[in-house]
Amino acid sequence: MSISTVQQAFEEFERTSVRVADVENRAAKRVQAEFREAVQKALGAWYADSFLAGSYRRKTQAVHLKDLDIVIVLNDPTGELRASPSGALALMKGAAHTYSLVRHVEVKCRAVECELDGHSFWADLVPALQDGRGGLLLAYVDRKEGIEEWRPADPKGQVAACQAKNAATDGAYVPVTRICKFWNQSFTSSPSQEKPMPSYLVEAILHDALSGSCDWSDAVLAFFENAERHLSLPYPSVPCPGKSTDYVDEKLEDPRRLKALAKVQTVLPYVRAAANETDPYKAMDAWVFVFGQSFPAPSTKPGLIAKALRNRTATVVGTGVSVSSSGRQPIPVRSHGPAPTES
Amino acid sequence: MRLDSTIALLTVREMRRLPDVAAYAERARVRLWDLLAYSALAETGDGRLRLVAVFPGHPDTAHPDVLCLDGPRTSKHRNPPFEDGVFGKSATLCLYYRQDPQERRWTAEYGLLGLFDIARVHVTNEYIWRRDGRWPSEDAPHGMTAPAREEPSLAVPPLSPRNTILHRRPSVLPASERPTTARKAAA
Repeated sequence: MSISTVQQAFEEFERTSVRVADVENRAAKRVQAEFREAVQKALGAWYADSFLAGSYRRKTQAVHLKDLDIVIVLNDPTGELRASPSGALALMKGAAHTYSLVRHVEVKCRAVECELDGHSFWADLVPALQDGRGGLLLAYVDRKEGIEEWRPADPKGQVAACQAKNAATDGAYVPVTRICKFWNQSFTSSPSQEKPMPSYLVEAILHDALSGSCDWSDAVLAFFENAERHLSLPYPSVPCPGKSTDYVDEKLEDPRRLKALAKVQTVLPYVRAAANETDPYKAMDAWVFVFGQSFPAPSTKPGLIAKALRNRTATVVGTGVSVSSSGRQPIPVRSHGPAPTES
Repeated sequence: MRLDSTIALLTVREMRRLPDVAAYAERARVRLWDLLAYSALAETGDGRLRLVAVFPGHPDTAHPDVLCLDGPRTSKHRNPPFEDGVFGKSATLCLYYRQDPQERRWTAEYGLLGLFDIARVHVTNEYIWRRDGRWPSEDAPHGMTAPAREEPSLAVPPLSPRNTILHRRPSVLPASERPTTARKAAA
């Protein structure tokens, strides 16, 4: 596809670099269906219903699938589970082991986390009870704090809010959420190391920033400006998209908030420069400063990079190969491989 | 200042969740908690790829292996074991010819950043090779081949003198100070 506008560049970037690969999505689709079936069989009469929740359901995961949230609604005719949230988690643990791909199970506060053989994503089985008024209660067990209770929650409300915002923005909200998460994930390769912002905070800040249809570059600018505004405040201020009386940043500690603010303030001048650039090709090059070498732009064209590699003038900038002379000079190795007979 | 914040030491739990790393350990008959592995990111036309550098031995004595966990796996320069019977289809990048002179190989003095940068160049070469059928950087013929001629002028200085200090090899003792066989035996 020939790219002549910034919007086209963003769409190409989202399609090729940001969106979760089809192969992973297909695997997840199969796994979640099989897992829910196995759990239903294992639970027997305890099982009432199950549904997908979280960012997998909202389609807002970026680059790779991390986890699949599967909410299992339980029947509790005798009130036995209502009296024991930890009992509900133990029930989930037992049921999880009946699925052949489950290799390792760990009980967390709200769910049992299940590692799956041959997959880098995992599944969280979340036990839930009907609250009798059409809502749900989710288990919460924190042994260190001595908390064991059922808490009201509305996992379907977050999905509905996401879908409504996506419709209100003519389909910009979901892909731009992924793009903003892509930036948020660019600081570490380790899933257990902290990203600048919790993932759902990114979604909520963008949700709060967008009100109607817009170009994706404007949406990204709106995200960073709104992030700076919220992160500058020393109190919770980002409303939960699914329940506006709750704040997503309620548990965001000050040190993390300030670190995230510093990252946002560092990148914001580059975002403003890119969004305000009127020449589309210069704008694309400016977005490379924000999103890295996988953003389609004149300076990241494969032909240009190939020429620089041939001439040994290519350098490494950040985590990608660049035609810039100011990057790191790589060791001039000769790639190699085995002889066909050695394989 | 860290030049690459994406480099991270992998924990056993993280390695267990990466099928390619788990398979590597199984092939090498190494338990995950005995494996030293780091991850980093690479941005290419194929998108954001996760790279994992695995050290099967001490970096001064054993070459590391770098795995690319994402993107297309068929390449001109990847190491076995190959998947689906397709030559060149695997996760293990064949970064350099180990018989080449020192200036064309990774050594511990270059640190993890130097290693991941070679891998980033490698996966960018792969992306272009898949599009155009040409490997843009220099490459060596497959299998046993003649090493490249020595060109010390190509040597890239280590990025930080600290790297050199951290990985400095012990200097060889003068003959007079070396332990004799008798002393060795006594020790």
